[in-house]
Amino acid sequence: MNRETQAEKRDKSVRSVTRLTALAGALAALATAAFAGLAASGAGHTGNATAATPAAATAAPQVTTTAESDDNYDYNYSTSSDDDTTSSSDTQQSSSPVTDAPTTTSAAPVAVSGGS
Amino acid sequence: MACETASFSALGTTAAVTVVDGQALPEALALVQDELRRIDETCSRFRDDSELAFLNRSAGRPFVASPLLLEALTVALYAAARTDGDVDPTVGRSLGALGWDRDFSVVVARREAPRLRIVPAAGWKRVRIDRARRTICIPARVEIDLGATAKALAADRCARTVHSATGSGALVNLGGDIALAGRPPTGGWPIRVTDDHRSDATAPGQTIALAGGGLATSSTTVRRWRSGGVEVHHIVDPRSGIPASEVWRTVSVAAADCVQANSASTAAIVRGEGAVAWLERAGFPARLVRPDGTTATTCGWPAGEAA
Repeated sequence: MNRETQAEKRDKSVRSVTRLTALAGALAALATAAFAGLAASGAGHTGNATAATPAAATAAPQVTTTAESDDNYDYNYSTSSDDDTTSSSDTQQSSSPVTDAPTTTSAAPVAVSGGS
Repeated sequence: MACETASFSALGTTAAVTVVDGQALPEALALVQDELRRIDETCSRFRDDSELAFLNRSAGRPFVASPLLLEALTVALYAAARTDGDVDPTVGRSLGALGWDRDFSVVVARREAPRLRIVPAAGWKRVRIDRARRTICIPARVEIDLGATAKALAADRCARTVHSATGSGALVNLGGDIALAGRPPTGGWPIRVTDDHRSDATAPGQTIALAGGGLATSSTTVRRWRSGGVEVHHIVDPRSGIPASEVWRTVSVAAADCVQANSASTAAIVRGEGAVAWLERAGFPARLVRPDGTTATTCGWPAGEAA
């Protein structure tokens, strides 16, 4: 009887460990899913307007130590006008590299673009 | 309404501001002069007292930078990333080793050419920016040169500032790096593209009209000097530390702003034969001139006569 009790205790202990393991696994799966969701939403802003250009294929920087390493290389200078332009909110948009092509004109030039 | 222009010397080149509303010119000129003074104090490689000079002497220690230097370096790293390292701000020692170690007027004037040395760029990925602490860290013996992008950034900032302050359409031209803001004149801004920004409107080239954005021209024909018995130019391939092969003598690029135009035109010179395909893929309208004067164009840039 005493031996049966000890066996039952071992069984209970095993079942308990099993339940805890399952619970931990479920929590881990939940955390993984949540992280994947966050990662996906992050990818949304880094792979935006310039995705079709070869520049967008540039390898992600691997050497930066900042919390938001992509920010170092993604800078929306087209819409910033004051000094404090390096905040992460400014860097989360990329300006398009393209513009309307020039046209020919017979007007007298107001400026010269050449090497300097 | 006739456009009005004022010009002056700054950043080792010619600066000019053109406004659609002539009455806005005095204010526009003051704004541009003030902006360029700040850029020079911050980003010059040839002033011992510039903030960049202090950064270059920081020898691997975190350097607390001003917002303007952080912005200029961020733009330079952005250009490096977008061009796969063809435009690299760590070429400071490469240029110095080739003999461009002080203001260019001094380089061309000195009688004795320095010994030619070849020093590849340290590599832009070794530059660290910590936004939270507003610090920059570059390894010891790495020298940052912002010449490729700071001038274009200055043009963009100036054009936006002038338009914002005066309401007038504005064109800012810094040694051929052109930024546009606001409403253009009827038919667009007429601009001559040629080898040398100091040329007049009759120089060989092409006159085009642009409605907005930026335009930059890079050329191997203007900034040249002798070093170690050979003639070199200033557009260096960062990977080798050697001036780029002269597959193209001049490249002009139109883009959404001047920084992107400048980065692409410089990268095109460095890329040589691969430049046309790269510009096409990136969507940059461009005009490329070979040493013999024949031209190639991309992305809708209008065909023109040989240069």
